[in-house]
Amino acid sequence: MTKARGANVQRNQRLVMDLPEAAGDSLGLVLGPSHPVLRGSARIVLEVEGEAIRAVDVQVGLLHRGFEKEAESSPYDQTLLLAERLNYVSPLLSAAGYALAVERLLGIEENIPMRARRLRVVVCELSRIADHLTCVGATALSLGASNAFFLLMDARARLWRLLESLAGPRLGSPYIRLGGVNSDLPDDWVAGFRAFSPGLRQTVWRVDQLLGENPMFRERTRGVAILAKQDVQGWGITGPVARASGVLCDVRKDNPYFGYEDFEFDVPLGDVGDNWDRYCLRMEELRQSLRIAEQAIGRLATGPVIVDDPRIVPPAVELRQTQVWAQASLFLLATAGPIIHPGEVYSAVESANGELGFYLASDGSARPKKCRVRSPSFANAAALGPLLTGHFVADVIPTYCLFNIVGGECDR
Amino acid sequence: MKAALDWAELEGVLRSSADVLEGQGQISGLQWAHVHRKSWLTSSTYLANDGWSQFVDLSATDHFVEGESAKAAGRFVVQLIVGKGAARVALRVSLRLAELTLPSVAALWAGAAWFERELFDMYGVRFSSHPDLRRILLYPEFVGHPLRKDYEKARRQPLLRVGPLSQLKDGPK
Repeated sequence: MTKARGANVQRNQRLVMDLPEAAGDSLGLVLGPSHPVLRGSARIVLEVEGEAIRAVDVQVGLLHRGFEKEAESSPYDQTLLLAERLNYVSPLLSAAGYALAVERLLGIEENIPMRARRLRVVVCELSRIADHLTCVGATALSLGASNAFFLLMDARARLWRLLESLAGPRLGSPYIRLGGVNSDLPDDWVAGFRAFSPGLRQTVWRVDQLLGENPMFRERTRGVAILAKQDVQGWGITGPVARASGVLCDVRKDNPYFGYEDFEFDVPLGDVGDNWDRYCLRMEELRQSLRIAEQAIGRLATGPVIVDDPRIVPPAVELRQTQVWAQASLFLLATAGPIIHPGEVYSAVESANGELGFYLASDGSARPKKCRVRSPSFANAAALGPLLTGHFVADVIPTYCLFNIVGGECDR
Repeated sequence: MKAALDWAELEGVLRSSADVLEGQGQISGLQWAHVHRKSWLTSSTYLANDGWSQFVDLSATDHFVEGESAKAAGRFVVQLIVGKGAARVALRVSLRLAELTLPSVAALWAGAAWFERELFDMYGVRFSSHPDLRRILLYPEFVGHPLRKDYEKARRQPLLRVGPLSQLKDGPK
């Protein structure tokens, strides 16, 4: 965040034009619901006058699948599968957030084995990298820089290959489990990771040369869609967008989970809060996430990768073959699902877009009374309308990209 | 800056509007205070002025019981979560089906406007003085409020009619 900025604020005043009152020849224009660079779909209804936007109505909900309704009628462990599909660009982050909420509801957060926590940190940070690569790549594409897009997508494909080898599918990887992770690392995984990380650093550096040093890219992002620091919190904005406006908030530092307090990493901050800052911030977070993942790989503890708790994890095969209670608890888990004592919890993790919170309320049965997702994309999308008013039509899509609104998570 | 809710101060604020704190407590992740419907705006304003400037969430829980009347108390519990630094506090209010209205807090936290639209969409809660109260995740033609417990999960309301063409009454000629 050290790049010289110059006359940004003045430029923004040039951009946000002083619109004449009721000129009478405005035009309705609909962007979307499908657009090649948007993750998910949204209708952006604009009222434009020439190139300038007079009013914006962001209409979300096209990807609404009734997540909360479905979760309230499903066993706790099956909802994990749905949670992976909230933010499908970084599925493991959403799944980890949900698993942590259930573990906190059970009060077993401290019992999760250290190896499982370290593995969760590794996959969460790799997911964050995948999300940021997609975000910056899509932004580059929306501004015509398809070379940077291909470099970033190539890095993401390599990363997805690593995640694929953990649990099978390339997307929606079922690696996170209630109480830990699905399985230990494959034999050659750490070697694969060590081969991947210098390549990613190289890609980030090259993309920074291609985009950050490109006068066109700078012109199109600097001073565009400035989100003032004092507006951030009221809008409920968290994560990279809030930090780009200079608001220090990061759940990994504020309320550490999975042992994030053991790792050294910086939380970058922007100062103006324009698209350029949001771009720089995500590039820096790519480096920081890689730094965390490397530390976590270097400090993997030995031991089991899932908690020993028959309420959520089936007992080992040997026990099930000799003990009646073990067989019974497997039967209960497979038919009813985990049964959780009455209680409530609000649990948040730092997803790639900000504070991803889960509010769970249990009445003592096998189904949650309430499963609420506090989706960062939804809060971010709310601020877009007022932010884009007065800007040019061409700035809508890059801004939408850099806010990184993922349809699956926003619409739930 | 205090990183926790000052109960005594909140109770003082409520007493000045002739009301009391109906409940308070702590769950993993946040502190909560339960207030009466008529002091929703007073308590929210108190929180906003007390430095709880980070809007986090606004949601509701349906405590539906089969065969209850519309006047039964505590059917819906609306929960507003706001933050100050790393701390989170929830303000809760009970609503009956017969009087499903609340004053909007969008003037205190701009982000609340969309979340209030979602509550209107999913539970039918109406917010007075809301700038733009319409459905947000579902389409305008949708009938009912799907997150209420008495809305059947399997109920379908497709926008486009499905079935063989011959069975569609006024389908394509």
